[in-house]
Amino acid sequence: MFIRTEDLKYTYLPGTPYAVAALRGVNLSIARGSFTVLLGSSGCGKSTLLQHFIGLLRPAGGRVFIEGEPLGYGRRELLRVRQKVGLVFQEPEMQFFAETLFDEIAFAPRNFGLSHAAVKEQVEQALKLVGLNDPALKEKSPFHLSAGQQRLAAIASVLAMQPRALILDEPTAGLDQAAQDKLFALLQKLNRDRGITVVVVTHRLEQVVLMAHHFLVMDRGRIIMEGPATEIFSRVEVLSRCGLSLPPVTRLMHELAAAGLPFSTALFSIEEARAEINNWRARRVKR
Amino acid sequence: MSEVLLETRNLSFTYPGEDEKSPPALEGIDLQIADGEYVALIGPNGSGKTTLLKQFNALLRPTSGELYFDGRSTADENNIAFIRAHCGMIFQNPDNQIVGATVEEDVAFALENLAVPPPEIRRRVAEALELLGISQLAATPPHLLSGGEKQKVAMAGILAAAPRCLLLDEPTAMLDPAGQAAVIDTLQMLNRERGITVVHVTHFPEEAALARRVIVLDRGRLVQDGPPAEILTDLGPLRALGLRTTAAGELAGLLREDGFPLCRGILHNRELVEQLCLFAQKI
Repeated sequence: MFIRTEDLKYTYLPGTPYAVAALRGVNLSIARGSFTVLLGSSGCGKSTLLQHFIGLLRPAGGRVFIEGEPLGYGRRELLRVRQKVGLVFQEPEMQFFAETLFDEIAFAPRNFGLSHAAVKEQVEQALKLVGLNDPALKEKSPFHLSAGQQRLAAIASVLAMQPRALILDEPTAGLDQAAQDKLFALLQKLNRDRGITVVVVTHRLEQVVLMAHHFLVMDRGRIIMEGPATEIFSRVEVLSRCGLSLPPVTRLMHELAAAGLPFSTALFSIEEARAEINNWRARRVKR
Repeated sequence: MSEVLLETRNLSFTYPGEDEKSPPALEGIDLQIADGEYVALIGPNGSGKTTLLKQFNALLRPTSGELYFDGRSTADENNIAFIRAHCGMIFQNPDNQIVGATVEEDVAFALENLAVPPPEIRRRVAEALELLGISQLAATPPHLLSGGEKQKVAMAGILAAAPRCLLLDEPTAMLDPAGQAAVIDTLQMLNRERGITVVHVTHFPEEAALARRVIVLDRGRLVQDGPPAEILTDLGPLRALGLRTTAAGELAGLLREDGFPLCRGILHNRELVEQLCLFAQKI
């Protein structure tokens, strides 16, 4: 297991009239090298949970384990976990501040005290991974990149620490479809070719459902369901009770099946749906 | 034909400080939007959607050409207050436009600035909260709300000022499915029942499909303009811009390519369900 939590609890503004129990006993395991999607409606505790993975928040109860070891909250332990686990916040490009793309990406490796040569090496690798290695870009202001490039640059700035796990909170918000496709292709590449453990929080399922191994569904501070896509998206009532929806193709297949057409509802891509309907047509025409 | 509410005439815009070699953000836009229309504005990142939206309420003004709101040009400084009072803008991230310490205070902000008398403010705030179904949140501090609730607060703040036109820049991008549905349902209700003109910038084909008119921008130019059943089912030009259509539209298009006898213009799930049920009956 790469990340594990045991009865994790957290309350905002404890002891005040505004106290909100955000995590109410979270137990989860995220396997090393897996691609996991965390689903849940706004306010269910997803972002609070992610912040516990790298010790940005300290649990009120329970524990976090990274690679089997309980997460400690001393300065050195926190530094170590933050090198191992990279967290990409919502709209991460809002945190840009450096004058050039290179300096932006170099910020974390420099802070971790790497040598000049090592910093350069890690920055170039990170830029190459996300496809921003055009030498002309390196000296450009990060603010002058396109929206899609900015998001990739923000991810590169986390990859520059060479983390073993990458956690992303709503990484595609505000990106057009071409940029979304590019970003998910990058996550799949990092996961499959580099063995990086990927955890994504997202409400837009059309691409991610085709690449994730495991889904965690969160509701009011707890994990209420987990499993592969075929299992999670067959439980329509539970999802809708949590304010969640199906991937668009799956929803379409459910509507077709509800109208009495003999189609599988466990389909997630347009191509699968196309084959299912064409096969049905071929069978009927033959008859 | 209803009267024209928004009109651009050969509108071009270049961001100040951009070097002269870089292409303008908008170029030669000629466009009329009638009072009460529901328009989706789509296009790749950087195509000029947000820039055009900001022209509509004079947050930005044309470098050349003109923009008229209800016959008043944004070039005339005296029209700006009028235009902004009638043309409300909702941004992607509600955190960027919420200022009040409580929900009702936030919703009252614009009215206070417009020097509306306090009893009238109270009435209009209560009405806007009621309309969006968030009356129970009136005394809540906005930072304790979910994303969908915050976006509704932002919309209530705009609606309290009784605008004739709502401009929305990817209002659902940060929201969960329930929040997305709440915002979209609210927009449709405001358009249908109150006749408010809606201009909705979106990356989501399912949302664009609900508009009555879709306008496509590419590199600052208006490249397509028509009903969703036309624009969003013409897969060639969409793909060329890296855009997609709805799942039903995409699937129907592919099945037609495979020789499946389906009619043109399928965009919504129920339309594909109907067509396939008809086919099942016939064969």
